[in-house]
Amino acid sequence: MKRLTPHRKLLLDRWSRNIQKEPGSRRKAALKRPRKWAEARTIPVPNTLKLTDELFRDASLTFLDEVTAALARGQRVILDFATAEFMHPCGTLVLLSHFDIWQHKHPGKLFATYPKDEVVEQLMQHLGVLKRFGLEERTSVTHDRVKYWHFHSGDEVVAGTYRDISLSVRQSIEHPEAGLFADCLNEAVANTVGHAYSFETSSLPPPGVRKWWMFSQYKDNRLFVAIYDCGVTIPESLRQKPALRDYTSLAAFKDSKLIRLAIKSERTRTKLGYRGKGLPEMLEFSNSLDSGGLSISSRRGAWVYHAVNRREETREYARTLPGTLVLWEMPFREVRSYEPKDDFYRTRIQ
Amino acid sequence: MSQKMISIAHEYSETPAGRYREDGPFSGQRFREELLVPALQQNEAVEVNLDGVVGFGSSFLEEAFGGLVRAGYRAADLRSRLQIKTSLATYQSRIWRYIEDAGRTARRTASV
Repeated sequence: MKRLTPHRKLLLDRWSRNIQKEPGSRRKAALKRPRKWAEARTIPVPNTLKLTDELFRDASLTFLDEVTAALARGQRVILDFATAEFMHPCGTLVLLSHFDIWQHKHPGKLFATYPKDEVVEQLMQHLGVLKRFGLEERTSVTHDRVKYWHFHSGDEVVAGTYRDISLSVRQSIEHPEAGLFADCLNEAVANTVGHAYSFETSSLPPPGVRKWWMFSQYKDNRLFVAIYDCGVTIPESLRQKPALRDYTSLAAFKDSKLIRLAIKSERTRTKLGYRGKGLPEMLEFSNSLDSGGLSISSRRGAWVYHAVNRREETREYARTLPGTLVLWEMPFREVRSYEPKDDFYRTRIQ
Repeated sequence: MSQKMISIAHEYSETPAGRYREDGPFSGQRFREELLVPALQQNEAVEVNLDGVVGFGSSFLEEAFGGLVRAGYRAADLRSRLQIKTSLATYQSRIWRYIEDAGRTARRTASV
């Protein structure tokens, strides 16, 4: 056995005496407490989880970052849903993707509490979140804001997964080539599978969770679809392309401008195959809609198309979205121009 | 002259999508390699029926049909041997555009 030096022995004696003498010492308390809970950190879910509005984006992304950082430090994390009241589709979809990533990277480290808000609890139950965290499903999913939502995810293009959406749109949409909706949706998912994780960056999730996540809702004569990936993002993908080396000025382009470049005709001029044809085809399809629109957020930028007045806009946010979020909305036959009824539905294209 | 008819919906999948085999179970590459190319090898003419499918996606169509050119078939030969049957005219024009584009790319590559 290794002999202790006198100095080391002195230090250990002093440490031992301190532990016994100080009943309130943090170290002693830590020794008595079960290790599991000593490390647990409770992080409140923001009241409003939303990423397409600068007002809530910062708090939403800060929350995701805090959970990621705590788990990376080896802490157990309890997600406190008591404070959550407005789970917007964009924020909820990104949160669900992060559940996959967090639980894959840190199995057994993530816990959750029941929400206080009844609608949020129904939503969490409907999406399988309660079951996922070992919480009993104690309510019935009845609320209009919840029961029409459908959630899909995968790491391959398996169009059968979202077959029902494709069929219902083909039958119900006011569009000269309604059948092409399924093509657009397939291509958007194929883009994610083929291009979103095409090169390595430090921010990519582990290979097991390089997936796409999709929300869809058919309600009030309109269809809403959201698709998210945690990939390299459109702006980063563009900046990495060897074909762009001559376009040195693009390095200084804002993210929103690069997203626009990915969607619009400039793409063919620059001969870029970085995102396939999914987004331009979605825009082409949206051009024949009476209302609704298309919104693409990636990194700090966003590009939005409003079908009702054929207006486009670009947005630049302060915080970086880790990945690409596509929001797509279209009216069904009965209602030609749609006005949102409440704030929840206003989340679709903003 | 032998002719083969392939219904994608009945013989392959109602929900084909994706370009390469690794993209998903019903990709364009798999369709081309397992159904389309063998049919072209064994028959003078092949008719592909697209009806009954929920949707395709351009990467599926490009890889399935444009990929024929990359697999060694000449666009001009395909014009005489391949028939596309569909109720959505867009697919017809798209498929032939993919084949012609692949032919142009192949010629450009060969001349370099």
